[in-house]
Amino acid sequence: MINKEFFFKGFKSILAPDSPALALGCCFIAIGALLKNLGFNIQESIFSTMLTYALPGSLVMAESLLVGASLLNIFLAVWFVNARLYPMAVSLFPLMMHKSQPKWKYYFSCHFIAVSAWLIMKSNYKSIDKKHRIDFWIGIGCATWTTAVIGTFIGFYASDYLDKNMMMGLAILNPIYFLCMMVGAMKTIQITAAVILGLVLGPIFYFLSPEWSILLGGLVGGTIAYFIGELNVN
Amino acid sequence: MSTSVFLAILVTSLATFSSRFLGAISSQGIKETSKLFKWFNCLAYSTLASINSKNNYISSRCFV
Repeated sequence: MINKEFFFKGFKSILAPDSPALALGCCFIAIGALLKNLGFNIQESIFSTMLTYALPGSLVMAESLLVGASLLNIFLAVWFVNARLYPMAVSLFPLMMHKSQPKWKYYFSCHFIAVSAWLIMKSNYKSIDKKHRIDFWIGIGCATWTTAVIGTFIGFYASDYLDKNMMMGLAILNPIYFLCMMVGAMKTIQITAAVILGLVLGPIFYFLSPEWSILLGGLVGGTIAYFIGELNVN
Repeated sequence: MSTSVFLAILVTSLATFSSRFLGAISSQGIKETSKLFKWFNCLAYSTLASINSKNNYISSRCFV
């Protein structure tokens, strides 16, 4: 079963000074308010955050419903928007794999993959014994997921008091915070190059193809950064 | 909860979970010291930076 000591160690990591809990909570407050304005009730809003737990996906779903898109269209649109979760999972799970741990923990905890939890784990995994990293990760995931659900709840009921500018202020807090966290993660030449290239290429590709800009920015920037790092090692 | 919204949420969660689950499954054979892992690590950081700069750019335009 889950090791309680490492689970709670992970859970408490959102209380750290550099924790994303506040930015994440603010962002989901904006989402809760937005979902209410789009006609969702409280059960639907909470259910959406609990099951999806990915901001862009929730937004795409809400917008697609508004224009009367089919379920297949919603599936494809969300799948494309959240394709970023795939490389995030592949670059995280090998750090936590241990023979003594059951597979279900990995399959269950992949639901917690989100920028906030991913960045916390990436900056803390070295201080945790590999055998217990999965328990630590589940703790982080439960904490960030709970924050998101509470944020949605607050946002839903506070929506009457939030105007458009306040909601945008809450929503922009998260990307700015994550930008700071990524700058803090730039400790190797590969990651530094990946972050800088992603920052530059994202908006450039947005002008060329808004739908594909994130995936293209990530793929091109990441691949160039990888080769820069390899050349540097050689 | 209306059926259409309920189904839309289910479809959204399925689409989101599939990326996460595929990542968890396919990462099983990858060692953390391998070149493939390093490449995926670069892809992940670059993609997140790309999302961030795009979101910040769009938000800044909305504020103006």
